[in-house]
Amino acid sequence: MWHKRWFQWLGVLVGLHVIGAAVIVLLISQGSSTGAYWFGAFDGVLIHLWVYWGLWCRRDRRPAQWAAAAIISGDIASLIAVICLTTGSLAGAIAAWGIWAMGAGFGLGLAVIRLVLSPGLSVLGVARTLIDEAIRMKVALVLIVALVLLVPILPLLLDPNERLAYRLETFLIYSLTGTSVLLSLLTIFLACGTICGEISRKQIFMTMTKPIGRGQYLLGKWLGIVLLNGLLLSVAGGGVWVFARVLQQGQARDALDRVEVDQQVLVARLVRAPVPAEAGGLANWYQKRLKKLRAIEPVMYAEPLDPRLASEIRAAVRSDWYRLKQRQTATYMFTGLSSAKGVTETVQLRIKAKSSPAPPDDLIRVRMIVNGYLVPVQPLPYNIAYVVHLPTELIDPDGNLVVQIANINPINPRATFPATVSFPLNEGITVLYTVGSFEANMLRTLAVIWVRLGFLAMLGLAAGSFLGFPTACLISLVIWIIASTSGFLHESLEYYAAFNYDQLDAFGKVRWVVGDFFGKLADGEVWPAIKIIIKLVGSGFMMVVPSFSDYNAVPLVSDGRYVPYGMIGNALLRVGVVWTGLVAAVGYLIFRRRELARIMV
Amino acid sequence: MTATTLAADTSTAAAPASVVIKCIGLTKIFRDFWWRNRVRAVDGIDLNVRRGEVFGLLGPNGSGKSTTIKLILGLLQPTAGRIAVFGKRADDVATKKRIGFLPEESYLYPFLNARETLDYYGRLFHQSRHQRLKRIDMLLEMVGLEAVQRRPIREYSKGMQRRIGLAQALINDPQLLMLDEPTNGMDPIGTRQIKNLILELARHGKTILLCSHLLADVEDVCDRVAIMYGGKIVEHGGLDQLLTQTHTTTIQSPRLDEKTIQQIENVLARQGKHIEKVTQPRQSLEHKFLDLVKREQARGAATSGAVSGGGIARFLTDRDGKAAARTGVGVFGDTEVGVRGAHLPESTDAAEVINRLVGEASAEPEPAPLPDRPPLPAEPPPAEEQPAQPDAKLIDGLVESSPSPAAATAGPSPADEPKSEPQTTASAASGSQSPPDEEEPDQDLIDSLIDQGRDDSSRRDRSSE
Repeated sequence: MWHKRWFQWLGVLVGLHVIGAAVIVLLISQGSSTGAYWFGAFDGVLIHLWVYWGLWCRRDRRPAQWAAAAIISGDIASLIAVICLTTGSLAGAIAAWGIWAMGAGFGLGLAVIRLVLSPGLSVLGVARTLIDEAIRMKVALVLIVALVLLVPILPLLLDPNERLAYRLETFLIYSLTGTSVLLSLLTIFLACGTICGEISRKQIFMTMTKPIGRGQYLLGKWLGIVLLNGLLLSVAGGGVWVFARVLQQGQARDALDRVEVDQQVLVARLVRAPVPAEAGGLANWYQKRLKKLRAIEPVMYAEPLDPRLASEIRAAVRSDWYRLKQRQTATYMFTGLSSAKGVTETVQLRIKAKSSPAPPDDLIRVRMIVNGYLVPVQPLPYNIAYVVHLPTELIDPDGNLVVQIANINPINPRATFPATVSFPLNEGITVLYTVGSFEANMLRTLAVIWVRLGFLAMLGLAAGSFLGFPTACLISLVIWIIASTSGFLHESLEYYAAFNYDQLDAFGKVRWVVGDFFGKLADGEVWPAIKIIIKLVGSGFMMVVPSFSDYNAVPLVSDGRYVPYGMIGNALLRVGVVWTGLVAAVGYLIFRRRELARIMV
Repeated sequence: MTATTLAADTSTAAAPASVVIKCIGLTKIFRDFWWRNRVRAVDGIDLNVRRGEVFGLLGPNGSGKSTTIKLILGLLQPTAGRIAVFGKRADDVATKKRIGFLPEESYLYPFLNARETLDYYGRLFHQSRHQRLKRIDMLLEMVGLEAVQRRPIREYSKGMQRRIGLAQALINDPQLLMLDEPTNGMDPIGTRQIKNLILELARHGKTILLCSHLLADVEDVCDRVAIMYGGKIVEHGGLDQLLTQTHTTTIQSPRLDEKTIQQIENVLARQGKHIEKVTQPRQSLEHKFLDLVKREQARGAATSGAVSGGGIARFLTDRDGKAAARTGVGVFGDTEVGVRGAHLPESTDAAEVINRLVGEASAEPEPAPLPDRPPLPAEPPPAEEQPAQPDAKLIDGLVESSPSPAAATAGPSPADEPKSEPQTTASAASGSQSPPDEEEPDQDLIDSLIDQGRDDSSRRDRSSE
């Protein structure tokens, strides 16, 4: 019976559209555009009212509820957008539509996931119920709403007077980092809360008395969180991509700004660092410098050399290589560029220069010869990356590009400014070339974030399976923060208390540390001895936490640098398989033995 | 062998096929943080629940009933002792396919609606979408929540949540149904429906373990009970064995006038007996309540809560769906089912009782046999609608039925009628008022009845020899 009514309702809806379109066409053909406009508005209102009525009649049905939510929110978003447009705020209108589109995308994705999880398997059933729980859990809902609002609103907060490339880069960094942080928090709260919540509310009695093993239950929960994360990442990633492309269409400050946007930000570029042109360059320079220092301070630089001193000498040698005194020339060779010849017409030589003292006009003038050709270079802005586009024909058959930079005024050598020009380590002088699209780069970035979230989900579930919600959250948050800052922490520990045992085997290292500890105590150096203990504890803790900083693709994608598949593979293997598997095994072993009921006598 | 080893060795202690649940020396001690024994919740109990029986676990609050059920379900691990469910360990996942469980409260997901809830539990049993949809429809109809199936559980009353809890316990058509305080939070209709359901499921061979401290519920439905106190089973056995008062006899008949009572008193006096109490039954409050609700439902009065459901879900009784049609049973429907006659031994056939009174007054009466589960009859009309019959006609009826005890037990017996609470009006000694329009009883008929009773009893004695 309801089918008949449904078709009647659909028929009226189609009729309203057809009649409306016909009348509008007729009015326009008669030259009455005002009439067409007003009739169109009237017909639109009529159609909306008819749709609302139809949904109201079927309001007890879930699809009708979803459709009503989508249509009503779409109407509200359109209303806001129209208001924004009438006040001249195109960005506001785009944000309003963007929020609606992301929300609608999330709803649609949710329906797809529910469909995927509909087969009658217990693991899928648990996963689906977790997703239902997540969208009703207040904390999770707040984070989801924050995520949906973050991406569309962020462009509104950027300074429109800033360079477009910078704005775009800032948007990418903040939106992707924000997405990663919000989803990490969501994952931790959800994973920690779901199992211990079910145990405290005794809902787990109903589930675990059904034919589902505890491992399957954990797996179902994990699958649900991972799928939800996948959906939210897709929605947020889609939003970031759309708004990045919208921002790209914005007004660039100048032609250079436009080039930067199109060729340096929204692309995927491979980076090559220079090596010395002469064989064994840096090693030879290191030995020469060490010899000189040993002549001055024979005791300090005697063999065996303190590793910290050796490290300092290496850094100094490298730094010297990137430093040019007045009229001095340095040679930087970039290798392995054969692949660039096939995929792009130009490679980008990126130079970021400083000068001491700084030139009065903040412009540094150098002369550049690439593979024997003099390349005209504009004066380099002080401490701002400048890109010289070099045709790939300049690359020699071996795939090398030899760049000679001289601290000489190319137009008038005599007018060379008396200063030392330097290029910051790692980023001072590099060659980049496009190897892929921004979209593919984004996908790889999102994949790496997803893998990390998968680990956090299992961590939270394992913690929540035997701890209370606050404790499980605290532990998970601490591990997440340590994992995210692992690079910085490793470096800090290295400097906190140096262990000079690089050349020793494992047993030798232990002996060295023990000997060093007691040696310091014997010498009355109590605090340095305690620092050894602190470092050992810190290093031990770092060993049981995965290093997320090795798998952070956000800085790369926001700088237009290529996110290698190797990073995804490594993240998948180390974080996704090894670490997640380890935590899952520990969590399962504890959960398997746990008594789910409490004392009730 | 230590207690823990025993507990872990349950898989090897396969129970006989007829025993569904077997517990040997089951003990559960809850310990505190310092590993000190805090509470001995279950203390070395032995338990056998046989296939097809309704077993009641009775006891006051805190006696260890729920802990025992949780141990059987594998939610707790025994400190000592063994458990076998269908011959497998309590935590065996595959065994759970055959078990339905209703905990003491319905711990449901408040954000799901009734349909989603049942769908979720159906998935856990690996049921196909088609099967889930079919069963969900049947169960929702059975528990009377069809109209509110799209409302989130959080909006349900406690009784409605219990109904959904019951439905989820049945979604897998379990062979063993474990019900922990099943009538907790239910209105009288729901309580009666659950009791009817238990009887109906038991009639179809399901094993039911019922845990309750509501004695009336247990008495109405259980075959055997175990009474727990302080974590131990202090008494166990069949309800008839435990409850039958073998030294007293009750006769229920249409209203008797004073003279008839006096005549019976005289008859008894000849046997050296006397009437201790003459009561006039009154309709129970439960029946009154159910009648009122039924009347309102018939009138079409609106309600936002649960309504009387339909018949028992077909998949629970007969996979072909023929059983319900054949029996015409409406467990959750308006056609209410009376309480189980098997456990009301005082309500045996009136003629037989009179025979015993007359012929075997001095002999020890036999305990009422446990008959096969009778087909559940439709609810009788309310007491006030029963026409008052003259005593003579009743006695005629008794006389006609008394020669054939076998025929009397085959048909609906007074035991199947709604249980009525006796109202003491007067004792024989104090004398009760007879209605003015009562006819005089026929003394000849009474004499012949007594003679007939003697003949019957002597025939039975001969046959038993």
